[in-house]
Amino acid sequence: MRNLLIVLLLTVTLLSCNQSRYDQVYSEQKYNESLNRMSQTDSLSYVFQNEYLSLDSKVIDVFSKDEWIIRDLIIPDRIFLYISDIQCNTCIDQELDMIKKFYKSGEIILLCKYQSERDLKLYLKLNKFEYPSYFIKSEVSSLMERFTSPVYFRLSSEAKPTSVFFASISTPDKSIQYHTLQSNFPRSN
Amino acid sequence: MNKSYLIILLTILFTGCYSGVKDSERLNSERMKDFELSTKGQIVVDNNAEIKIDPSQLDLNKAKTSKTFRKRRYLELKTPNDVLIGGVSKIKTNDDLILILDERISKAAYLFNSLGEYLFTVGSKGGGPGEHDDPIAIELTDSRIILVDRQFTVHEYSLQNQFISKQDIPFFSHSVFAFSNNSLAFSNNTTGYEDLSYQIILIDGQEISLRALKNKGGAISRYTSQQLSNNQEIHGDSFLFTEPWGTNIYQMSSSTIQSRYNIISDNPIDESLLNDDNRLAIEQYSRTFLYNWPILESETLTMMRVLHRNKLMTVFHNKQTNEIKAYNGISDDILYGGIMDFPVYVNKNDYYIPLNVEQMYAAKQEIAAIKDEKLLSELKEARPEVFSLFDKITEFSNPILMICEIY
Repeated sequence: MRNLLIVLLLTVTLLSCNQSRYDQVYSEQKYNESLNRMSQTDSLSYVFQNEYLSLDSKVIDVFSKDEWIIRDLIIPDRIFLYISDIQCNTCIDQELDMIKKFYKSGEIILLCKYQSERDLKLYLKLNKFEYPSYFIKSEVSSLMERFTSPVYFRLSSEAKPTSVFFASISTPDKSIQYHTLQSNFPRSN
Repeated sequence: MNKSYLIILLTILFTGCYSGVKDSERLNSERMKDFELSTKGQIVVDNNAEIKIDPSQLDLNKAKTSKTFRKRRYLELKTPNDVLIGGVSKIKTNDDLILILDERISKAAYLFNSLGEYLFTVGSKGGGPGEHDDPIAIELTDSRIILVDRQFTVHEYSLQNQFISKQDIPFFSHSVFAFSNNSLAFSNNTTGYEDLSYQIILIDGQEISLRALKNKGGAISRYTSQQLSNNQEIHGDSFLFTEPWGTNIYQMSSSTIQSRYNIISDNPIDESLLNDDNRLAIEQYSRTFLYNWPILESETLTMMRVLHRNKLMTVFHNKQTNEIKAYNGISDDILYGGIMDFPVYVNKNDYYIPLNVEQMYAAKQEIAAIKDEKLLSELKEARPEVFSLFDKITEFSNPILMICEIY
């Protein structure tokens, strides 16, 4: 009788764990629907999602100065944020703060295009931003480098952007929605 | 009876659907709700003493630093270890003090004495009393420091860093000038609000006491942030500014505007272009107009920047000889590229140039790798100034100001 009770208890626990995992992670369809609903710059997102970033473009770790290529940075489920010195400054401030609230180190990578490496390093240092951050040293995407708002995306193994989102200082609620949605991203494993 | 009900119902429906106020008017009233508009008439521009400059007649040369920037001295901005300044966006000085704004990196304003010793960071970041968010313009008077915040507010502090006041303003501005009677003039970067569609707006308490030069197009302020510049000994209680996308340089007091310079242009940015963002972004480079840079006037020279048919010119008018020189960049033969651009500020005859310390740090690293002692001593002999500055430069060292006269 006691054994039966233990088996029953374990089964219930196991089932409830599975249920909560099911609740937390969206199906791919539900995730995509939610993402599409919040897309602000449809045409731009659409064009960007049909672009391939250059896998062999060089990037340099802002802190260690180690050299890598984009291919090395692609890990399933990882999010990228692209920022540059032609983008709205306050939008970048807002997003760096959001990253600290929503992501653990390793879940997100900062890709940066700045004329002055010193300016960027100082900016990250003053903002106490310690997430992996890379300078773009050769062209990754001519389209992306013209974006005037910070843009989030994931990358497929062929470096095709998905889950694209353009952040703006005027719509912090959309950013929160996006980051909340990312925690429900259908995991690859 | 039924007919009466029908009429009443239709009237209610109609008045319910039509508020009687257009959206633009409603937004304008919302912005203006705490401000009174002065009933003073329009200010008339006096262009009797205007000097004409024809950029097509100017020869362009590179400015050689050793020849153009003379009587050079360097001011290191010394701060405690925990105060890092990214860059110098704007400078204001008086005889004893130097106020610096780092708009992009640390997003703060700092006060130094004339020796470059740090006094304090103005106010602090936040939303409470005495706190500001993101300063984008500064002003220094004999008793006050004024910060304009990106969040449509103006903050005043004493020279001891005590908070004096905070005031909302109904527009976005990149530059401010304080008149001696305490009223403030702002360059206006807001479009779409009828009452605020002027290039310069003066505020006195809660009154908009004067508006000058009507904006000509909807796109006008999208790309511009013209600065109001003043050299106390020359301009007294007035300031210089450029008409955005225009060809005139004006000097404005609290009651007069004088056109000081006019750039001759046979292809100016016309009103149709000012109403078309996309065309303006593309076509501006082939036109001739005053490019966005502070107008810096000393006793002898007036410096301005002109975009003339794809050529960016820095133009100097010598007021004593009437000679005009134009440069299309700098050839730095003294600081290994530490001087990247022309001055951003002038006080009396002293022009201020923030040095590019990143470039100088890179040069320092390269030179440190030289093993040939003879070559090293030759380099030191050729450029002693830069070697004396190398000692002060580290990867994250604060900007250094070069103060010089211009010939």
